[in-house]
Amino acid sequence: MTRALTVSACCLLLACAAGTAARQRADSVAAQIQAAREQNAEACAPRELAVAEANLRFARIELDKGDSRRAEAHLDTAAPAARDAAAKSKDCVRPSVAVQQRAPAPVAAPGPAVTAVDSDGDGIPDVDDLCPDVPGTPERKGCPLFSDRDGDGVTDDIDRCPEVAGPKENFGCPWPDRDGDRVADKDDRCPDEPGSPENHGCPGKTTSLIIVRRDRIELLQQIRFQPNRAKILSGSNEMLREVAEALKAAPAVAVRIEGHTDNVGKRKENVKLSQARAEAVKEFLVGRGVDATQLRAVGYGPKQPIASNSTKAGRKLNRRVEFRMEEPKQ
Amino acid sequence: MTVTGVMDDAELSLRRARGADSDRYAQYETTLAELYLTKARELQGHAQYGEARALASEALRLANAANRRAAEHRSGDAATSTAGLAVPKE
Repeated sequence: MTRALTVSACCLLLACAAGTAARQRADSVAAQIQAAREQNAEACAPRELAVAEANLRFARIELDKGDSRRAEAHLDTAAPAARDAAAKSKDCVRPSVAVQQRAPAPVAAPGPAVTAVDSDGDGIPDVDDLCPDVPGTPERKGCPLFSDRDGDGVTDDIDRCPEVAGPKENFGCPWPDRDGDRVADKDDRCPDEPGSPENHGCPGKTTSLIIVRRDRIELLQQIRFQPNRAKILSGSNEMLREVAEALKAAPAVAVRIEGHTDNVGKRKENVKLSQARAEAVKEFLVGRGVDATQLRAVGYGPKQPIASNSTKAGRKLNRRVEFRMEEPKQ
Repeated sequence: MTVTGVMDDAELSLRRARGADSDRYAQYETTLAELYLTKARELQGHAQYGEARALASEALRLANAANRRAAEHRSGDAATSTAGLAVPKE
């Protein structure tokens, strides 16, 4: 334990020492660069000066991060470059500025005038214009804001469908619509069958309480019964009438009416209640003109829950009647 | 603007400067811009975005300066040669 601590302490000390040495070396290189600068190295040894300055800066960045090894590597490049810059600029002469007698104004000679060229006419000279051939804004250094070819408000740089308008929530692409009924699949309750928007993309009545699917008739409300009894409450009559109409319109379709309960109470009682409720629904439909041979009532009791029976909401969902399509009648 | 955006701008500007012969007329700025841009890329690769961005911005500034300086030199050369042609022979 003690040995490990000693080794760690030694490593830390060595690292600190390396960092300090590198900083001293960096200061020395900085002094060399300063001397070279004073000798006008920017004019006489521009490349060497640039290499020295850049690598000195990089070395300091690495030192700030605590990486003295990388800092040393940059200093290894910076030091000789600074020396070369100083050497090359030793005899470098600064351009002297002398005030001379003003020359007579030159007579305007015919010829091309040298002015700042602005090829795209956006007010930004080509030398400052990153997009000299396309008009742009000064904020984007003469480049245009991204275009929006499909005009959907999503600029082409982030538009996954730049030629087709679409909402930004779908990255500028239109929402998929498999059945082409102009109700996007995400809002379409019947994405494979065309339907009106008023009917949520489903065919049939505009204010339907049921959705006829390939494998089932989906009820948008639950059929309601008196508690612990198989008597249908009147609030469910309208929906069941719609089911009856749908079944009468498709006499070849056979449907299994499934009764389900939650798991409260005795299992046998629950199975019995679910069977009775399924029978009650069948009776209702037959009373509305549906062929009895189309219908089969089955009570499953609590065997097929669709939600947890440990919560009130879950139990409520489990107490239900479903309509499942069966094999077509022969 | 993101680091990548600044770096892209700097790279573009540097390319334009090179096109304007900045290696000849603005060697100091061009060299610095190139080195800063290279280091910025390296730092970005190590997820040091703050420093990468600072260097990339500096590279962009230097590249623009190189570009301007090179263009000025070229304009000056062009003016000299034009003036030379305009002087009537004695």
